[in-house]
Amino acid sequence: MERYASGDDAAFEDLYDAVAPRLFAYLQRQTRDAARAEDLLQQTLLHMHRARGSFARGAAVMPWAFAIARRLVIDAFRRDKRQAMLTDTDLLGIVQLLPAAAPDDVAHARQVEHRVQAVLFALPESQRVAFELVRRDGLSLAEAAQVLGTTVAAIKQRTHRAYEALRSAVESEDSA
Amino acid sequence: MMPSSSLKAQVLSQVRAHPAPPRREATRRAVLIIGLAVIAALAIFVARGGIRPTHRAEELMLGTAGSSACIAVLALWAAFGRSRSMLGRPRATLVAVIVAAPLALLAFKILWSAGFAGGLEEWRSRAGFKCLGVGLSTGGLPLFALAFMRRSSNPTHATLAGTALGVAVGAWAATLVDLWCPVGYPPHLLIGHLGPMLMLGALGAVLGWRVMGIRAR
Repeated sequence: MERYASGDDAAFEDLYDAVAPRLFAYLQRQTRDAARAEDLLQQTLLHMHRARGSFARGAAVMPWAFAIARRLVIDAFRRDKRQAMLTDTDLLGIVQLLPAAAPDDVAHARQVEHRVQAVLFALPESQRVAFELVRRDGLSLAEAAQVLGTTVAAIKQRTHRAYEALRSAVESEDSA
Repeated sequence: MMPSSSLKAQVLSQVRAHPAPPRREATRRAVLIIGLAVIAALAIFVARGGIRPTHRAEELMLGTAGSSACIAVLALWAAFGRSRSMLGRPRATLVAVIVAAPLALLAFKILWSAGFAGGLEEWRSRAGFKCLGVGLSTGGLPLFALAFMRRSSNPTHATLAGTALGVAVGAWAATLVDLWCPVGYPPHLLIGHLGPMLMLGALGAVLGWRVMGIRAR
């Protein structure tokens, strides 16, 4: 992005290759609609392109890109009045992030999934969003703090609480 | 999960079709826009009478206008600066600008004026509305120019950022008002010197939300 802001037109393609996959994964999870996710991804990248001239020297690109994408998702949902839902594959992904989980058969895996889903949706939104940004989208604590406009300490606390809640859910299923 | 290959071609095509200026060119344009806005504001100030010491002591004027100017510079740096982040200042910084700048300006003006004979004297014919007009007319264009420079920048706290920017520009306008207006009577100051800061802050909130924030199409 720094190269693009400085005048290297060809750098935008490199920027696209660097950010598009992660952003698309995030948008796909949020919208559950590949076409919608692509539309929002396109809007995100065009916003970044239009901000070329005002890109702050030395600024981190990923938190900014995620913040734009998140704002577009919120705005789109507000219009459509839809709730974000997780797909089954996403849930398996979450379960795999929890070291206690080792579902060894399909039925048990499904049970764990449902329990995790219930717990995830029961979490305060601030915890769920922080957890997803850090553990699913791969942002650092500092980057997630920038995206959400809060402190690193707050993000740490939120992700920890979310993680503990999900871990308890998985462990209680395993022991049941 | 990967986006389709056709999306990349589509995005690159749109980028080529609607080029955006790189940093150097954008900075040149921004300096021009801000420069014109400031010149226009100063022209309005001069047309309204410019610097009017009237009976004020030089030290009184320098103290109050100088302090307003310092507060304005600090507030603008805090509100408009981004350090190394595209997401703007933290909420606490923006709230500090919004709350502290007007209070500091008012406090310094009153405390400094109190040290001079007649510094806080009431002027019955000057309620403060002329000063309010001068403040709004000299602050409006620079505020629009600065908000335009940050259009669609999507700071994390867009409305707060706009409010802080409005208050900071209002502090700059209050400096001009201070050079223009000899009255130090506190109720007059609330209407005529603080009033523009608060109203420009409200306008800045709208600009932050509508201009600096982004919306899905």
